Amino acid sequence: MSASTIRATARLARTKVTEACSQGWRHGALGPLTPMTSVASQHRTLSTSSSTKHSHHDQSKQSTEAGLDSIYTVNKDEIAKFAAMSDEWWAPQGPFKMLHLMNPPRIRYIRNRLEASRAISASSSSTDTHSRARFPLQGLRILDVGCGGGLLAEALARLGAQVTGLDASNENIQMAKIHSKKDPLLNGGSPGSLEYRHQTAEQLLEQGLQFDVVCSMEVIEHVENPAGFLKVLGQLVKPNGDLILSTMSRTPLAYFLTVFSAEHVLRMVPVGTHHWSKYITPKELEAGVRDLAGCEVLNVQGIGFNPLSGQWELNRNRTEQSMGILANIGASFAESVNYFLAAKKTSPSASASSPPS
Amino acid sequence: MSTRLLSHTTARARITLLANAKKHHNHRLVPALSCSRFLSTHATPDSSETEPYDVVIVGGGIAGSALACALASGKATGTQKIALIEAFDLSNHINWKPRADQYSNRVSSLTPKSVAFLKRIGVWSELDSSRIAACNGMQVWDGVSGARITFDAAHSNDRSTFLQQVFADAPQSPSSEQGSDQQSPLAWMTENLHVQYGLQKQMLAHKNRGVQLDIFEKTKVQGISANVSSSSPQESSSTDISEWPVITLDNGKKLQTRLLVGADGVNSPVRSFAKIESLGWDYSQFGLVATLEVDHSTSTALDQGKGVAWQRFLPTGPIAMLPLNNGYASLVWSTTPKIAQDLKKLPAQDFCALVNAAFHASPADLEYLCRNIGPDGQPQVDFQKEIEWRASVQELESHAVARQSKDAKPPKVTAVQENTRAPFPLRMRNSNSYVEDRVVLVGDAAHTVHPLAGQGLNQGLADVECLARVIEQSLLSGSDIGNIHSLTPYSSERFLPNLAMLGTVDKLSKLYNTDFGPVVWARSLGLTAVDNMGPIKTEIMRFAMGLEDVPSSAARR
Ligand SMILES: Cc1cc2nc3c(=O)[nH]c(=O)nc-3n(C[C@H](O)[C@H](O)[C@H](O)COP(=O)(O)OP(=O)(O)OC[C@H]3O[C@@H](n4cnc5c(N)ncnc54)[C@H](O)[C@@H]3O)c2cc1C
Repeated sequence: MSASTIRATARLARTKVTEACSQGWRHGALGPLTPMTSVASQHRTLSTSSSTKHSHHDQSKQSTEAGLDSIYTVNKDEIAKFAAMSDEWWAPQGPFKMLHLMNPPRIRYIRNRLEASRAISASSSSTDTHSRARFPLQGLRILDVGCGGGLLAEALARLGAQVTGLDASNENIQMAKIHSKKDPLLNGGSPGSLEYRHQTAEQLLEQGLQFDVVCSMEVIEHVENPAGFLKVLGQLVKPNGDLILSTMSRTPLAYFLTVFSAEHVLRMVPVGTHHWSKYITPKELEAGVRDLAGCEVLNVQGIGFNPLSGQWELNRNRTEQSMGILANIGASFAESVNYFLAAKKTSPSASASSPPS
Repeated sequence: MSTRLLSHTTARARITLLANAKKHHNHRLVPALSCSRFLSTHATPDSSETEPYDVVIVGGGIAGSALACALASGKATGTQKIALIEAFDLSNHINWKPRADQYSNRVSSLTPKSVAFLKRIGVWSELDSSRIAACNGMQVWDGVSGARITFDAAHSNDRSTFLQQVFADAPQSPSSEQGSDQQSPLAWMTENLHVQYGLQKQMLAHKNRGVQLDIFEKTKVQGISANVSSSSPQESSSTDISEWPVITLDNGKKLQTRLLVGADGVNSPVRSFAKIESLGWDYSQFGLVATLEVDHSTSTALDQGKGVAWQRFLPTGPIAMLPLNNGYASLVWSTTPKIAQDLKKLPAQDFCALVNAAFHASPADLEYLCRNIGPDGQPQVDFQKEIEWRASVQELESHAVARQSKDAKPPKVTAVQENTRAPFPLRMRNSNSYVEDRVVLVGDAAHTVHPLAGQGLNQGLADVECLARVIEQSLLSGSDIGNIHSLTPYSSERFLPNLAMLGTVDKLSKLYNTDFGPVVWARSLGLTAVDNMGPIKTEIMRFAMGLEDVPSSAARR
């Protein structure tokens, strides 16, 4: 373990991460959103828009801890785990191979959703110029929370976006920075830009930053306080901006595929990568995004690994499916492991605490 | 006996090679490559002189040129900075002005799939339709047993359905545009040079409309080198592309590229650079090509055998005659190296007599004749007389069997065009992998197949079509197009179909290069049986026509 990891760990140790929160997750209920709300709010880490009386209190707590350079939504073990692997992040056949393979469908999903929400013009339009085909995200400020080695952030920047990659692990940020130097397209060779910050989402919020698009891929299942995390993400989205998340669902199938098969049997990812108890179901996430992040959920879509093609493939869109019983089973099955969620911040008032940009 | 080839692999390290592909003779393995010239710690020796590219294509054969055109015509790929490097003078192609009564000896059959692709990239419309011959039928038969299989564009009912599917969005070929009711041909025959001409015209058109396409012709790749991993991981502010391959040209210029494409043929220097193993063997066979003049009135086939491809399997290898327009035909005769050399030297009239014998006479008679070519290339017996006599005997025999009359006869060969006889060594190769980080192989560089099925070029075009699509997709998803993950969809889509084709063709060639009794009996049973089984025949045709779809696992998403 490197010095900076230890530093990060020490910093984390200073922050009091409430047990109740993780307990709530372990019991499989999204505490802050459901009957456990009251329990959770007693512990002050979970701010919900429904318990507005706590909001002031929560916010002050946030500021205090951010002032102490703390990163309270991040679990220290998780950071250590990923930091240890960050060197291998970009190795083609390394432990993140599955993540590399997942990147193109992620980008496809993001592009599709941004087109649907009219943040960018449709790629199929006949007036498409060459440069629009190459840099469809030009002009968008995108935040990638939990950017890891920079896989998604690099791709977004290559497509012309101004990207800020954020990660709580210094190793990841260093790794990502080094890697981004290996491509002229990320260094002034395209309209896009890329910056990395070893900061937390809360710290970014404190600086009054907001973005057209906030992405956080496969991160929420690793944070200690997902409810607080969602709230912060919502606040980082500009009014009318887009929030795009992906995570894993807490289902037996997900356990079987991600923990049992991927970690223990196939060794596709290192053992200990996932904590099944922290997985979050689409319903829970939808409620959280609506109530905590203050965004309207526009789409939920599953993604599955096709072992025949060796590629990840987006499952059929739920809204595009017929309403028959079988179709619904299909949809819930499709979302029962990895899934995406896209939402739009409609009413700026929903997140009253968001600082002016 | 075939020589088994296996190129040696070592761990991928900082490598350089002197690319002198032409020297690698077929009996040898890709030789020890590394002649490390750039051993300095910094990967880009004179980074000031090194010009960066997105894609560098080594080899301006049909595969490489088609890739340049396909990339240049793509929406996203058309924005890339591309270089094409070719040892030969490509202006020969653009200045190609053939006489109507002369055909070059390298002719290929293009499948409907290849033609559809060439149309899509704007090349087909550049071609002269009078020099494209539609092939509407195929007659394949076994010289030893006489068993025969017939493919016919007009009479296979199942064809319309799958062809309609495939051609739903593909316009008709220039040759069949006039007759709207005409059946789509099985394949189109045209000279490789002709296709090269069309490709070259399109490339220049793309350049003129502003695509960044640099063509280095009469230029050889001298060496390729790359750093394994960046030597200085400490944070620096400058961009570091030291992991990108550096290509040194024989004019001293250096190019550095995000993606290096090996379209450099069977001895691919790019493949050697990437240390990709290539397995295969040399058939101890040569393919003798030539341009023939035929007399259609002598053919008993429908429409005097115009537009019919003929192929006869002989114990020494298959002989094939592909139709060209105006009474011309292109010959590919696979045979032993000695016979191929002898055939090249024979006086024109005797050569024609022997080609006719190869299509009509018994294998034993043919063998007798071939044995009687003297060391000076002169026949030691009177070929004409021998053949006439033997034909008359055969006529008697066949009347007894009462079979010959039913089988369509190919037209008689009357002349061979001067200086068109040329032997090529035949081999089979398949690379263990088509991709490496920042390296990808297409065409003969990735796989080389026996020409008996006329598929080598078609496979290469299918590779190119797939690779251009994969690169376009990578760009649209913001991926680094040189990253191995961006390239694997290409190899997973192309590897198996190519391997299947190689295996099938190889087995066919082994199966047919014998006159051992049981094998002949079994294979003639096979041919006759296949000929009688509609669905299977349709499948074979689909495969040979390049209509066999990619496996469903690799289906487009
Ligand atoms: C006798 C015979 C008959 C055939 N008939 C058919 C047929 O009917 N149908 C069919 O589909 N296929 C046929 N084929 C196969 C077909 O010709 C090949 O598959 C096809 O031409 C391969 O194209 P390519 O572009 O991949 O390679 P090539 O045509 O070999 O092109 C490679 C290019 O790379 C260049 N190059 C190599 N090294 C360097 C270097 N160091 N620097 C710069 N340039 C370099 C070479 O100059 C060359 O131009 C036949 C083959 C033979 C031998």
